[in-house]
Amino acid sequence: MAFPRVAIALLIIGLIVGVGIGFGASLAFQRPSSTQKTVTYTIGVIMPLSGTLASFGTSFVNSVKLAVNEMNANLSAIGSPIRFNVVVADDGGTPAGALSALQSMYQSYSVQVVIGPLTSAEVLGLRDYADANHIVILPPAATATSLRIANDYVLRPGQPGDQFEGSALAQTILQFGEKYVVYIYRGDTSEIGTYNITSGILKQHGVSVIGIEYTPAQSDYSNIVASASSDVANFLSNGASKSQIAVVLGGYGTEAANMFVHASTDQYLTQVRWFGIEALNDISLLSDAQVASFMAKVNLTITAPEFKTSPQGINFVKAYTQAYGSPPEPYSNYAYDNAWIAMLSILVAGTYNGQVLVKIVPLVADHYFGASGTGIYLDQYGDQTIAYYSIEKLVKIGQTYNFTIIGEYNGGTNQVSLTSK
Amino acid sequence: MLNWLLGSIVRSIFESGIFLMVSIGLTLTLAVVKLPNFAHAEFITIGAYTTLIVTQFLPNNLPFALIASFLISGLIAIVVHQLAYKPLIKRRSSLYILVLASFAVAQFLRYTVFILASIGGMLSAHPLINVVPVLYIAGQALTNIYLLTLLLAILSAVFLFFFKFTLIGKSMRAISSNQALAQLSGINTERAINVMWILAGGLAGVGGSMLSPYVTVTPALGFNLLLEIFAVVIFGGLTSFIGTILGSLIMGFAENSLMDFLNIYFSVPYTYTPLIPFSLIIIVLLIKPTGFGLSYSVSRALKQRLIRTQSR
Repeated sequence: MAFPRVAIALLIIGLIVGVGIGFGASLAFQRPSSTQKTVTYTIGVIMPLSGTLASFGTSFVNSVKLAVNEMNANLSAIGSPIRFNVVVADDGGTPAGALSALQSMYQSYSVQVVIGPLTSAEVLGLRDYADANHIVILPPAATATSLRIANDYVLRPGQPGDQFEGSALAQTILQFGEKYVVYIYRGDTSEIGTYNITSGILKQHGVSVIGIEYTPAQSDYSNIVASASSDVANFLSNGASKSQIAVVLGGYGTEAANMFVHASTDQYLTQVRWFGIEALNDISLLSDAQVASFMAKVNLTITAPEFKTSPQGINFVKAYTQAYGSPPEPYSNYAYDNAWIAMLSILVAGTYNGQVLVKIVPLVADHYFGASGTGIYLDQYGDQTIAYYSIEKLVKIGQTYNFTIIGEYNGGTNQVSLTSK
Repeated sequence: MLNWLLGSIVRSIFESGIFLMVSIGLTLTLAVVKLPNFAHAEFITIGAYTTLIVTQFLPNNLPFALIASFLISGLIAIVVHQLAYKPLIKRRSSLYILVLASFAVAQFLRYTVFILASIGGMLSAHPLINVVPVLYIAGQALTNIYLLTLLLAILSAVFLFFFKFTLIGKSMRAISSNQALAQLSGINTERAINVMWILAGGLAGVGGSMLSPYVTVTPALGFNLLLEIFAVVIFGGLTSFIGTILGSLIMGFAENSLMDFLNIYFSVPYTYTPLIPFSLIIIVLLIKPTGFGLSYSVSRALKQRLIRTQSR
């Protein structure tokens, strides 16, 4: 009778061991996707969605969302549990707004990487807070030379800095043979910087430069335009010819629109050539008949970061247009690229920590070739060093106004070459 | 030598006209219902947006745009009064509560416009109105918009001046003096106040309409003018129409001719232009807290009292 008892005991022990082994094996060989928890990383976006730059801000936000949607679709397709989500804040285009947006984003979401803000002044507003809290800031189009700071948390793999633009603008004006320049510029850190660089180069070449600084966000700039008109009239009365006089506008958005409307009825300002910065390539200006016809009449010539044609760039514009029903605002490609750089950096780092990401972003950026089509190489300040600018003139084709390329500036050689005037 | 002056005066007069159009409604509100309505600036935005929309369908049809702007802004002013201010005034809410309510109304209106403009793709747009120079004075273009603004500003001032002699105008003055007594005297105070709101909102809307050809219309258009409007009204003594005209002229000339003078002769940069309205507010509050418009009537009243005392 002892045999059956031993056999039963062994059978029970065998069953228990078998169940244990089976359970262990099931854990070891189960499919990861069936139970792995989704890991979500937040990409913050701070942009002006109200105020004078709202059209750019909206387009930049859309570009980041597009990049994130594309990344998530690819991650999903390979069965990765990682996802990215976007948190957007409107900073109203002001430094205080940018700081407030970052504070609230950090407190609510512990955000570690932010695409934006748009202008250099906004970036300066939040820079100290970002440094103190180790939040990586990737502004797509903040170009002020005052942001060239080593070892901070602001990295600028997007648009090249104003030192290139100032040089491109000055050399273009020189190549047109201008001897007298009236330079109207916005009183912010970026445009003051560009004015200083441009006027410095022009003065070195014997050009007379009169600078007129204006305060942003005023309702009317008739006195600024009248002052520029008076300066042009003085140059003319002192014997200068119209072809030797130029007006430069270092401003944009609603402020530029107001000045152009006033200038369009001015006797002197309509007779000389105008130059400007890249932000004047703005859909809201070009779609305004009175403003655009004036811009074309004075042969407005701008220096704009070159959008080299690349499959990535073409795909970006196509995808954006499909998603949002209209093409992106100029320079939105930088926001799109920055979003990809941020996400790839998080994937490479395998962690969502600003202190780690700030070290990885330059590595990823230097090996990334995106929609901007020029490649990226960051200097010791974390700023883009590859700078190509196209020299563009506004022309009317049929019933529409468009900027056409008439030359190129190469930041590597610091040379402008014009194909036409 | 003084070539700049004529052109500068033209710009000053245009800007004074705009200031008058956008601020005279606030003077009316302060005089009749004694409410410092911070939502007043939003009526300017609504007027500008109305012009923007009307000219999409009827390009360069400024008369129609002006009428539509007056009506829409005036209508919204009445709605705001009926839904927000009237119930609060009935409850005898303090001035602080009314001021806070006007801030809330301003925010509500601004963000409503923002949402609607965003949906309509008009967050930043320009009406289809051509600005055309009619003649040049010392190099400064006198445009169709400048001339029309000047005409409308003069008409508004003349209208409001004579309006006080009409029955409804007299009713408003009675309400301004003592609303309870006015009601007891059989005056239809409700009707008079409604007319006042239509005029206040409508004139601000017309101001926004006239401003729109020169500026890009955004939901913050009126808000950006708020401090300048209050500077004009404070300068004019809050409730005086003559004072508001004077305040508009001073503000227009200070921001243009004075600034040009300081720039040409003392190289003061134009970046200091925004300092002018705020400096004026502080100076007026320190030197003549009652403003220049009211102080005239106050001094006249004091003189009359002195004469009466002496004659006794």
